[in-house]
Amino acid sequence: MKRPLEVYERPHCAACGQLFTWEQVTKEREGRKLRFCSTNCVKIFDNYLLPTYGSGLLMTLNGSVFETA
Amino acid sequence: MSNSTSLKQDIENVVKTDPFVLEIIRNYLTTTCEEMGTTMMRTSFSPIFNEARDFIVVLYDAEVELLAQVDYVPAMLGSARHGVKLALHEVGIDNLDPGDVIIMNDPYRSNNHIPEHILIKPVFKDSQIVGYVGSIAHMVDVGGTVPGAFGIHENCFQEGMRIAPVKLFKRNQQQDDILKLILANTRTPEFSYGDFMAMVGALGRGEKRIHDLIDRYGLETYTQACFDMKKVSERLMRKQIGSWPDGVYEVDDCFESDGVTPNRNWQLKSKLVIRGEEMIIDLTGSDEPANGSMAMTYGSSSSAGYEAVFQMADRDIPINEGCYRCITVISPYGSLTNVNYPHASMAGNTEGQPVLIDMLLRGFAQFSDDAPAPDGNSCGLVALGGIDERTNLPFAFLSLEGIGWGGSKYADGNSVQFSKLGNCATQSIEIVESRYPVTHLSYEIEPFRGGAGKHRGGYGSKRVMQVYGKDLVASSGISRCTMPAPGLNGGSNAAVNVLAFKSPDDVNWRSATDKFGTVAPGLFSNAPLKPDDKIMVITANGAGYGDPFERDPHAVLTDFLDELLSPEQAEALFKVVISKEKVDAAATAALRRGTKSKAEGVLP
Amino acid sequence: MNTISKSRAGADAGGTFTDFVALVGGSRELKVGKTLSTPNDPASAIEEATRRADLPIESIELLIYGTTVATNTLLERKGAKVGLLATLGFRDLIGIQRVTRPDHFDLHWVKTPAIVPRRLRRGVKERVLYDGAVDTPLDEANLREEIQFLLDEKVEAIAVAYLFSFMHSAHEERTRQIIHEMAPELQVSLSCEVLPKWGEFPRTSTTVIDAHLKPLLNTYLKALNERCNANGIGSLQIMQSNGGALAALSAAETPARLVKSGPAGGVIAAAHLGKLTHQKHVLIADMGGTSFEAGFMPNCDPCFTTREELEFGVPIALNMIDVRSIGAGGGSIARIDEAGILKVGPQSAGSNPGPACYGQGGTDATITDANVVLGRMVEAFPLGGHLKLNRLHSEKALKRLAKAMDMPLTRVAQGIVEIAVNNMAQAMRLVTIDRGHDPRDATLVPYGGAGPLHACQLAEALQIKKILVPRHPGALSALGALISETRFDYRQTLRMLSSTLDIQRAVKVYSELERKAAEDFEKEGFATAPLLERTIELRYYGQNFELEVSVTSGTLDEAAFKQIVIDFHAEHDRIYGYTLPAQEIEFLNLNVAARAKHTVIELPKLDKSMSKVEPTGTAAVILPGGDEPEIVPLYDRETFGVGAVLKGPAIIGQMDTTTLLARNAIATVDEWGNMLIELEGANK
Repeated sequence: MKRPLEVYERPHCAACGQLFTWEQVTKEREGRKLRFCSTNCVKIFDNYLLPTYGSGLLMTLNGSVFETA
Repeated sequence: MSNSTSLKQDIENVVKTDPFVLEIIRNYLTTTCEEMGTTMMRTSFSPIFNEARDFIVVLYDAEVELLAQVDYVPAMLGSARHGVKLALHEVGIDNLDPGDVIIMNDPYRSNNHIPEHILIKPVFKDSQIVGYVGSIAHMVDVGGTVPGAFGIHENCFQEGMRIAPVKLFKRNQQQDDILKLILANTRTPEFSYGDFMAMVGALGRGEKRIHDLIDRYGLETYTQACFDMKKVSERLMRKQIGSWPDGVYEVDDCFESDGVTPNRNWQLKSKLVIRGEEMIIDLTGSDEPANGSMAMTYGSSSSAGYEAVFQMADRDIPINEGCYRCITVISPYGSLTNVNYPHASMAGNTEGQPVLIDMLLRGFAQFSDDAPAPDGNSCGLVALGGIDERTNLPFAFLSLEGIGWGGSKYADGNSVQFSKLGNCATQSIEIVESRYPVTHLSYEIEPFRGGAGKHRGGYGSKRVMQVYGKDLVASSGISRCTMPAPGLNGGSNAAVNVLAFKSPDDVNWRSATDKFGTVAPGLFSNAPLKPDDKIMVITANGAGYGDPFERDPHAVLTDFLDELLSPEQAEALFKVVISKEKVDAAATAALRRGTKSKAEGVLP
Repeated sequence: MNTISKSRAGADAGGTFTDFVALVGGSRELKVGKTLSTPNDPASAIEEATRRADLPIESIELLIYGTTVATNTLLERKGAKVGLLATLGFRDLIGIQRVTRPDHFDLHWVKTPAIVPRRLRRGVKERVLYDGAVDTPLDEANLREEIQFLLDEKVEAIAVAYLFSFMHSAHEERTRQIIHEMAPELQVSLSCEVLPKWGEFPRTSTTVIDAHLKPLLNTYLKALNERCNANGIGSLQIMQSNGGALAALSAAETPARLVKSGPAGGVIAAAHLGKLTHQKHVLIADMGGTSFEAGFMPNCDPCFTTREELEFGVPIALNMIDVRSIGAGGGSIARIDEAGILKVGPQSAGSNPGPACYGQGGTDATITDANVVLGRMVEAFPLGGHLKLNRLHSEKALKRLAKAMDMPLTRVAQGIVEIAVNNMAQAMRLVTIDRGHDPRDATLVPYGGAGPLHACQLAEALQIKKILVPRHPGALSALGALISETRFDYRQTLRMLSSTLDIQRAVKVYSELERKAAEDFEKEGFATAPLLERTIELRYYGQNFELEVSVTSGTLDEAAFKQIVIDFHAEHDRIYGYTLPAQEIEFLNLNVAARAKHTVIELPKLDKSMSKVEPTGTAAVILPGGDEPEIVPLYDRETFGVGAVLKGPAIIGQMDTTTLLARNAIATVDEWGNMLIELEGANK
């Protein structure tokens, strides 16, 4: 028997921040593997978030946006 | 706006459905939502559901993309888009059968806050999913520490029962196990059951209508029409965003308190980013989640974002998934606008969304004349509970208010109108007094308290009530009690909202902080009341637009004649002299000569 | 002395035209006349209409008159300056309204101003509680001060609306006494009389509307009554919004009942025709120049609503015939929005300049223009018998749209009509579904100038297989006025729960309402007592919307109440698809409808029979779904006899409208000249 995931164990998008329950898009950025809810969010991360906030942004993100597997 | 021929050609390149059929199908879907909404309204039980119309009805296509909606409450735009998709994928699209109904209310799964329950039903045709019908509605009580749910909580457990996405109906069979569990955890099981049945009934209607539509036009035409409708709205929204000047428009604001942490407010940061035909609403940099429930979920903050955009966009753009493709709301998980487990989010929806929407509109105001000054930023929520001695049963009464809307370039703000996030109607006093142990002493428009401007903010209301019974408590979710919303273009700040209490032995009206020792005057749970205690809610005037000294003197006179403005206020705030119930033009001109604008400043 | 046959007449004074219909007693003839309305001098239009109908005006024994004067006065706020006396602390209900707005995303919508400005809304020291107990007795000194204030402000009427007045009316009645002590001539409306029903905002709003209309309607109706008398008309009655008629002077006392009386006439006539021809349910489609009204009548009985709002935020909560209006009339304008999508209505070209084909300078393409281009409205039958339609103007108007959409002219015309038909079908669908019925079970009754032209398409859109086209569709409202009967509605809120049922109280309330009915009918001059129908409004405790069920006119006992509950469960199930058998029931409003014993109105029959009718010409028509014009037969309705059978496709012309018979339609003419159309292949 397997315990279903609690919300705090579920993935969140590194760009928009929402919890998602569908197929993840995983990308490596600044040496870390990041979780994204869509390819559109990857673009937003690359074209807006990183340029605006710099690599320091990753330190502000919640743990659940990083892919650990 | 660029010429419509190229837009038309633009669209023609992608739209394959006959334009007349497309229009007809779109209307049909909207009418279907209207029909579902009417059914829900007429058969539901919770007054906040039906009188206040706190619900939304949505249709989705086979890809779980929004097709049409009737939103009595725009506050749910985000949860309709994100929460529904989340719930369906978690259950698993392949695990769905005809006659299933999924239920969910989890705030962390992009719902707005705990009382909002999402019900979704897949629509099958020949063993294939052709769409979904959904509704999101506010249930009056969900357990938790506060009757009626509204109050200040410190975590999700105090707020009430969270329901992860589960099937309430399997193949048209009511799942009694699930229902028993849910109803055992609410103070109002009969009402909640009635509401659920109302929603399920409405979903059944919607399902039938989609079947009828597909029977009439065929699945291929219907599928193509769904695709095309979204494409058209996407193009229209891109055009709209493209018409706004590129840039990054920053606005900061705050929640004045979280009701739990003394002496601090909670910072909101926003950037309205316009790049070509794309828009990003970036809330990065806002504070960490508050300790009390004055904090938001992704469902709530994204709703506020979309709400602000639709307020400013051309109203002819049909709202469906297509509109959202070029708008992204960035709300980092674990922040004030997207709380992480187990932070509470109850008040953040009803009181946070108004602040967030108006904050974003101030961003729009940096390049558009159409954005008005902020409104009173509150739903004026007061929850009264206890035991009704006439029946010896517990009662939970929720009172909502209208506020003054902000002045704009074109006109004064409307008075006593519900906040932008919703469109809830007031409840009838006579019905309330017949149902609940509550008596009203008054409910009137409150004379001028703020928001002067060339176009002033609208007036707020004043409501005074008394409650009877045993074990009486009051809870409240009212923000902007200490820090008013700022005026626009030289207009004065809005007024603040007031919540006050008076026992028979009190000389004056007292705030909750004074009388009960609460951290915030408008955010608290279960303050103890005694029969004969009076409760007063005064909602804020909206903020003003433009220099008050440029206001048309006759408009000032009208307010005086309406017994809403004194001659002293007319002179001090607008520099208009009224004597013998007429404008003294000479004296006014003299007073206004060479006076510089003296409107109050913006929020610190 | 010349014996002139007595006649009974109905007239409907619309925005543009006044329609007139008279049933001549002796010859059993139906005379029809149509003339331009004369709103400033209504009697003139009546006089002219009788001339056009070739009817001696002094032969009219009874004229029942439907007018939009109340509706227009209210919409234009041209009525009296009203003062409002409300419970102290609650004078702003009509200023606050419901706190809602019609469009979520319209930042610039301006709230509807209240009929009574704040200054003239005064609070009076009095207070009644939810159970009828007096918490604060009426403070007469305070009251006199407030009345004096209003008199000093030169108000022309006063509305009195206190909280819970329907539980305890003495304060309002005493208030009126004192007002009349101080100003004997001033018009007063009391909420406990206008609408003794709970819901303080709709009740106050309705009372204010009544006061606003009283002085003007009084003058108007008195003058009209005198003119009619002078002309030799026996008596004048006025159509109310509940489909009943009232003596003119009685109507003047409760003018709120005349608001939105416009649609009532047509509904009454359609219901009558439905019963006469044994239809199961009737679904009306009234398409005029500016607007389209849809209404549903299960078992051919009109439906009522109490949730009408003429303007957003200004409810008039009286019992009125339930029709749903949308902006789709012959003059509705077709335009292209930003995305190149065709929209039809609600903007209208009205009657001035009107559709392009009227030749009055209109350049917008309208639904009428589309129909003209498609050949469905023919020159041989000018509008109203005299207005010729200019096809070239229609083509020019549509050319602009065709160019913008890059489509052939006729394709655009088809599209305009399709979208309009779809919009109307949606409205029709909603009115049937609202009542828990399926449109497919109904017979469509189209009327108004443009109704029969779109009837077959509407029927197809809703899978309806039967259509009943009245003999004079353009004058159906006037016919409805003619056949309407005196009807008074009485209601009283009496809140009881099933667990605390007090049957004796209910019995008392019904007795009182019925006594009032008998009294009012006697005052109206009726020799016999009225027919009384009891109903009750109830709901599951906790719901906010009531359903109305019939109540026995016999003894009201426990068994009777048991039956009421059974009927309620059944009705709830029928409309909403579920019941809550264990849930407490909340009884709310007791209603009595009092009607005069029905005067049998026999509509005249056609005087000739025929099995076949000859066309009078042909027309080149692009039929729905077609691309190219087809030659179809053209008939003149005046030539029809009983039993005539026509097969579609065809065009049937008459003075007041045109009927387009679809390809799969067969029409049969009945004894009264109605066309009963059956659509084959519909309702698959």
